[in-house]
Amino acid sequence: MTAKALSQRDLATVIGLEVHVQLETDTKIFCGCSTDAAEDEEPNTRTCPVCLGLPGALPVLNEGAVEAAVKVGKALNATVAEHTRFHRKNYYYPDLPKNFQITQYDAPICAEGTLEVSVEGERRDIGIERAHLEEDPGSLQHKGGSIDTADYTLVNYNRAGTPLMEIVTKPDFRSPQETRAFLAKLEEVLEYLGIFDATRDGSLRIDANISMVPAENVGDDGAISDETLAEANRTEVKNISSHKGAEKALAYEVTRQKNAISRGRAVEQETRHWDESRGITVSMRSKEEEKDYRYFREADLPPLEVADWKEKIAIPELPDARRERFREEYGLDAESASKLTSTKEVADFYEDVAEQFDPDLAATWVADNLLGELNYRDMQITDVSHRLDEFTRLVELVAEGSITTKNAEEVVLRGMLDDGDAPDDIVDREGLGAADDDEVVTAVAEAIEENPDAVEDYHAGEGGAVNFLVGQVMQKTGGSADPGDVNQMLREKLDE
Amino acid sequence: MSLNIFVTEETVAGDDDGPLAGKTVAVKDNISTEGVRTTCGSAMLEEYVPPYDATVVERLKASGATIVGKTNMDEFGMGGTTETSAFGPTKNPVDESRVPGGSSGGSAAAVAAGEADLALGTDTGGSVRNPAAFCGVVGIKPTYGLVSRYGLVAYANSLEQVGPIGSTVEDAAALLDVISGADERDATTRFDQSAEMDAHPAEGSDYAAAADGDVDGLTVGVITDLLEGADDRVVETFEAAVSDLRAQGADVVDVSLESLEHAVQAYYVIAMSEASSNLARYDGVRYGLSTGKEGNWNDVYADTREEGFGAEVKRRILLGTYALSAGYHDKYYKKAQDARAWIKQDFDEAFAEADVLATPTMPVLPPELGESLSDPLQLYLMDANTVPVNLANLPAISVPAGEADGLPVGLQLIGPKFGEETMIRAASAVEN
Amino acid sequence: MSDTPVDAEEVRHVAELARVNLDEDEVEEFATQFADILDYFDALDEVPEVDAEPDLVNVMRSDEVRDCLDQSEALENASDAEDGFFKGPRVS
Repeated sequence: MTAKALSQRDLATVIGLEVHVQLETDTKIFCGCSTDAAEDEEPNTRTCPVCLGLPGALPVLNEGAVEAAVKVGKALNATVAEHTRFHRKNYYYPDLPKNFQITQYDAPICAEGTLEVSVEGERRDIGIERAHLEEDPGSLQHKGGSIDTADYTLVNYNRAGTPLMEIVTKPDFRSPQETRAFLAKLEEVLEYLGIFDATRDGSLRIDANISMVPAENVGDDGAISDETLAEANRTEVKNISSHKGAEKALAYEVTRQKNAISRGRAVEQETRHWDESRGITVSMRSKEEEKDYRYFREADLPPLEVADWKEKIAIPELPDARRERFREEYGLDAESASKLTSTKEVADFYEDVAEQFDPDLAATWVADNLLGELNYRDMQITDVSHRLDEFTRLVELVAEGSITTKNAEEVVLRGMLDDGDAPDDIVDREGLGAADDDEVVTAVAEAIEENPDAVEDYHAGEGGAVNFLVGQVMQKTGGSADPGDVNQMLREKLDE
Repeated sequence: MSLNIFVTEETVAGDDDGPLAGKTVAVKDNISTEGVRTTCGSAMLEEYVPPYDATVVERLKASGATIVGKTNMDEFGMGGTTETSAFGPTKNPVDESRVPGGSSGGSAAAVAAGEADLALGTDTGGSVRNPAAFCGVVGIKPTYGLVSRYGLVAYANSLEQVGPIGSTVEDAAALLDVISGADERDATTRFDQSAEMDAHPAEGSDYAAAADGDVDGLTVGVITDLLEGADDRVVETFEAAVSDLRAQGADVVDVSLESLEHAVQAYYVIAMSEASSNLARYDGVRYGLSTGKEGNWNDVYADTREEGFGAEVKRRILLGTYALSAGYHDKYYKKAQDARAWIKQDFDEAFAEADVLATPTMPVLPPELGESLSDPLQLYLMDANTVPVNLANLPAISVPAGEADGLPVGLQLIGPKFGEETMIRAASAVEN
Repeated sequence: MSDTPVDAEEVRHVAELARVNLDEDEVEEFATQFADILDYFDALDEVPEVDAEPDLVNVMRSDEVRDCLDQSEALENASDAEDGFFKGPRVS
């Protein structure tokens, strides 16, 4: 397809993604080193002969990584292969301890799945070509300059050997927004499975392949023939690390490519590097060299036959299904259902509370009050999920009228979060319990006695003066008396 | 006059008690020893000191043995005469003008010269059996997966095993008892987890006890294909030893394995391919030679390897890279794997006709030092009798069969998979 | 001599793929030797296709933390290190 010919037609965007996800296992994929990276950890303190690539070391497969892979396959409705095995991908780079990466080649553990995405209300299925396991390389620092101009390189192998899952989609995306929606959805599903942590640096890395094709070659349902794809020049975009970044990078590319084509220039088949800080992609043509990875089977790792694990391994209810059920079962509106399923832990917490109380009350307390206070304090639900009993006690106190909603929200809940105290203790300490009758009677009498001016005003016909007295009584009872009752009692007393 | 047996002489005492208490052991220098230099006979690792022990070394220490040093070897195990070592060749104690064989030449020479009671070597295509034959001692290559490779510096990881060397079959077998067994750090030993077996084959084994010399009723299959082209003196010595077995009650039959014609090619393609990948890690950053030269990553890396590797290692890395490269992978690597599978099948069929198979270990008598270095292909052909065993993942032993012109001749006995006992039994009868 | 001509160019190409610098003498020498060796390997063309069953399957270890090396052990053999990092040449 000549550039000129292309420029004279309407263009459609075709995108495919390769997503690398770090799996949350306790140990690395081929050795027993911990995957737990402390904030300020020192370099090269979580290594062993295996992940350091010392002479004589051998890889042994972590069953936790295989379990995680099967869960991903199950969640994506993919097939788990009858026979799957590892291969060596041979290339040289300082972050690769052995100068080959153990990965999967022609027999990946999962294949042929789908994930549904919805953009502006429109739902589409994105095809998953394959998903396989591999090891993460170490991390590099280019000192004295950028990757192109540095003086030397510093290498830290703490990350080397972390289990990765590479998920490759079919070229089913037709817009950058779709990729963002997909990635956000994928992250949510992976977190629900308990095998992914979005807050972890580098836990998600994306390479995208993008082509512009004649719009007329795209079917109504988005289908594109293999010939069309083969004819189009494909640009690979690397170094994307978030779903927002994906949308931005690809939107940039669409513009860049459309501009080039409209000026009659061909779009090169090349690899480009996404520079997030500058918001542009940069050609990496100078780094292009023959990529002959010389794949061959990794003889140190016996092959796997784990297709039956798909049946045996349970996965939790996935986010979409859970949201639907919350709406039906608890009668929640879309917004509440969404908030309450933002993470699996929040959803679990909500259901525990909803078991004991009216679902709407539970929803208000969890979605509005609790999540709001947690958010404000930069806390997560997981910081308090072990205090479920205390939280339900709080809701109980409100439900049975023992304390006012206001006190519950402003005093007790905050006290629970800030000081870690139990609700009953806070209620007692602050005297928030519904004032008993004697207490109120005394307070009423005291208020009348201490405020003769107000009493006089009242008798002079100023009904409003009783409000002042109500305020006094409320203060004395720590706000726990019922204002309506107090108002009545004052009038009765004053009218005697 | 030094035989140049050791690269590093250092004593490492084992536990006070154990089956090998009081014995000294020499360890081939490609087996990792914590705190003791491990060079693999290469300038690349001249100063490398491992921070960990190979599993076989741990087991050795636990058995009460004392390690007396790290022995010389062909560089990274690539060679059959110990002449490619960066630290100079080792001399054959039986005839110092000749090679001790390789690549475990130092280990075999150590036992033959009385420098150690026992030795550990490694065998990828014959590297324990070859020097055992040339030095007149006993060497065993175990079934693939019998002994842990954790800590063995890899050359060809689908072919190699650590193997014991001793003066007698019983000695070598006793060392095999100590080093063999499943290891959770080597997935290829986990036969204890396989569906077909209850336990790892070495569990509860007593290989030393199998050296009882009783071959009455045993059928020995002589592989006729591997007698053709061998030196007459070797064949004569071999046939005399086989007759002796017959006299002790064994039945002797002839067997032929058509696939063996392709064994050397298949071996070298596979070994070189794996080597090209296994040796990629030597870039001088985490360990190994540093040339101090300037340049970017790729330049420095290529320089380091130019300087750190000898000619044979370079040759094999390049040929292995070639065999795996796009355009040649199917022609060479894939075909070699097909040949390997064919050879395995052939051996299975042969073991239906015989309990053990017999060949001369080497087709020639020990060459003179310097004689073999001019033509690499000729060197590879010397491995014709030993490489089929590694390709088929089977066990084999080389036991002295006699001498010809004053030089040792070894007889090789090949056992069925995990049939070490049968093989050891037959070998001990050869000793009689 | 050999059916498979291997010229100096091809040797240089493979040497680059393998990241081993060769001087011109080595290139020439290897070109000759490789021709013979590869010629010999050509006999593999005759081998039939054979499928092999794996000996072992499903060998895995539990997801439990095991001892690792401390920083000094990890850096013990490094030719150059800085602040706990391995130090190497620049990448480009």
